[in-house]
Amino acid sequence: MHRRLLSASPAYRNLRSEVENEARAYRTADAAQRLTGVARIPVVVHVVWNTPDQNVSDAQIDGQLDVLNQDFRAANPDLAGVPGVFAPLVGDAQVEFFLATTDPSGNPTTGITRQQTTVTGFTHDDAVKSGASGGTDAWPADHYLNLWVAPLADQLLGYAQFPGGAAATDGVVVAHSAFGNTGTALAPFDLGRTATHEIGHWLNLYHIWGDDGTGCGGTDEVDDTPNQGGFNVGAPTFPKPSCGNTPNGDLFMNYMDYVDDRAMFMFTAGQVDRMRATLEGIRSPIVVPGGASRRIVPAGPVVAWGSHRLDAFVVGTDRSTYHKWYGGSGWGPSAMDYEYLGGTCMSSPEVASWAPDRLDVFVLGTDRGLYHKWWGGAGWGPSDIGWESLGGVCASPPRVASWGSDRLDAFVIGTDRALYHKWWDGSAWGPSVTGWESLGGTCTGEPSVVAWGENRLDVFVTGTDSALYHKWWDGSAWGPSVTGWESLGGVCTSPPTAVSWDEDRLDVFVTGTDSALYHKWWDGSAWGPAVDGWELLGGTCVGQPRVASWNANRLDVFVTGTDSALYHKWWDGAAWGPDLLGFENLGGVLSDFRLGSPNGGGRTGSTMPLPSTPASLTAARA
Amino acid sequence: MPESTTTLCRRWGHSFEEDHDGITVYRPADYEFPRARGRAGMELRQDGSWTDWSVGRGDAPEPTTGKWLRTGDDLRLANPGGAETALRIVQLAPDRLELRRTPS
Ligand SMILES: [Zn+2]
Repeated sequence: MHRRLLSASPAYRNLRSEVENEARAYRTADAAQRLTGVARIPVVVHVVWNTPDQNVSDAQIDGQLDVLNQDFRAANPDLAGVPGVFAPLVGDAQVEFFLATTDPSGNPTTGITRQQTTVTGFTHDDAVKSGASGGTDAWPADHYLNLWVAPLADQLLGYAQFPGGAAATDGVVVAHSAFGNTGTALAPFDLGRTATHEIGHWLNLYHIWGDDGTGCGGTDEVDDTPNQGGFNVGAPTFPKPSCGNTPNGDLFMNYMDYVDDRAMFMFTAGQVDRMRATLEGIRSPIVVPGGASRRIVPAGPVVAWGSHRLDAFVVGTDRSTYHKWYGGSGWGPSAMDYEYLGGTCMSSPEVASWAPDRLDVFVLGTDRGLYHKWWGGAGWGPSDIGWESLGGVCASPPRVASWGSDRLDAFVIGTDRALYHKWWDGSAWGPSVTGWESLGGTCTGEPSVVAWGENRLDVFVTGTDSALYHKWWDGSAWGPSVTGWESLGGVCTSPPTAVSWDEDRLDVFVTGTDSALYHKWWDGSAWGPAVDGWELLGGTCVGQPRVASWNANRLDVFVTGTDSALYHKWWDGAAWGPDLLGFENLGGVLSDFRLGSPNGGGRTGSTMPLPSTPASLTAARA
Repeated sequence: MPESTTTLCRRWGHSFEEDHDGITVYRPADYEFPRARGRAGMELRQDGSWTDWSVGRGDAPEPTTGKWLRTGDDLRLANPGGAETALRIVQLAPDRLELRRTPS
């Protein structure tokens, strides 16, 4: 297939050489510029069956996903079987897979399609990838990894398409008899490794023997894999030499050899580099960004639920909510227009996104109650301009976090200045549709909330003494207690802004009494620079700092200066830029970039409180 | 055309599990091979064309078509570029073909 496409299509050939150049550039690139953290891939499993026994169960599909999430995280138990001499080569691809939650039309989905066919056995001719030939059409390949499970003829276990090919056939095919680790899977291909191998190809890995038959001249374009003759089969005994690769011999336990499922259990660091280059390059649109290692998109007036995607919400002078979005090639609905979403808002919108193409928008109404509307991919709920009432009498704008799929946590300050909380658990609002949980405290401004992992929340507020206070949900209870707070010192004149770029990592920013920017951080074991200490970052700031983190160990801080211009500084993992106390002037005149409003009311505006090229996106590619 | 050539002209799968002593063993493509991640093969046709089915980079079999020529027990397979592989037919039966590469 690969060679056929190479000889058939100059466009494919060009794309393939681009992919190879990217892989080569990646290998030599500065490590600091690399994509870090976990790349999450939405998967759609197309089950195409002829006889009912081939209609693999949801549980079998879940088992396959579990195998992938072990194998691409070097978290598989059989990794211990790697011979000691090869152990230093083991690589963690840091790729995780999840069944898609939104279908191409924007409707909720299980990420599984099922289709009966009259075809008793598909071959490698891609018929399984088209409804017209008895299979199931691919979902858009730039947003989903298509995985077809079907009966295959000629004992074919599976096959894959390399990056750069046609979208209509992009993805991997696995025989139902080699899929997952239960049900229809048959030994010796019954541990889910066929999908691991095929997805290795889909991420641009070649066979470890170099695809030259049994010769010693072929290469897999990976530096740390030993040269190897032909493919290995069964479960070889170490060492198995070929092509003069003694004394350690072939790396036959690699996923890209042809051994049985139980005999393959590692990728190398060099293979990981090739896969990461692909995810950073030609397959980057499919990657669901995390920042943290989970797919947790920070909430705010602007959210990014996919790479090269931004959704921004503002309140107009008519106090209605307006929306515009950046889709990679430009702003929608147009450069100058906004989408009208109704409402009469007393706060700027707070937006969360718990899945690609999913948005949950929260505002305060004129009754100071909380109101909610949501985008499910195809339309707005409860209606285009309607809002769901969630009760409360709020003294602060809402702040929202989402730590998992179909999960929302909203926080506000009540009229008694205590913190209040409500949550959506996937089926209902807790403690009730209009009810709230009191979390104590006497807060002077709006809270800041961040989720760095599943079932984890960290909330920050300023107290009546202007110090920063912190509380956290650890999955089972609030710390330090339901109504108690940890004091973190400081004299803050702005609400805090907290972000997380990794598990158990927190960075908090405030403006001090001298109008300078201050910073403190939790590194997993202690607060820096001290429990009640702060790092001075200079500047003369008006209002709350805004912070984005698009990558591990990367922070971009935006503040408004006394001249109403936007200022920027950044942490690159080693130092603050442009320097510890300095800021980069981004110009412009902002009234308040959090509460910015379209001019002139109505449905169009001319001042969008955002750089026209989102800084976080251009910086990410720099 | 000799009867044995009629036997030769079919699609064969590489029964690599049975390779021995420098001999490559083929079985008819519909043979009950053990399951494997990849199985190369070839097809010889009466019109003198030959298709090599190699294990593709993405596991789908990849065909390359050239020509074949038989002289007694000597078999020459030429790829489209003209490069030839010289082989000796060690055994030819309806259910089994054994080939040995002859030094060029
Ligand atoms: Zn393969």
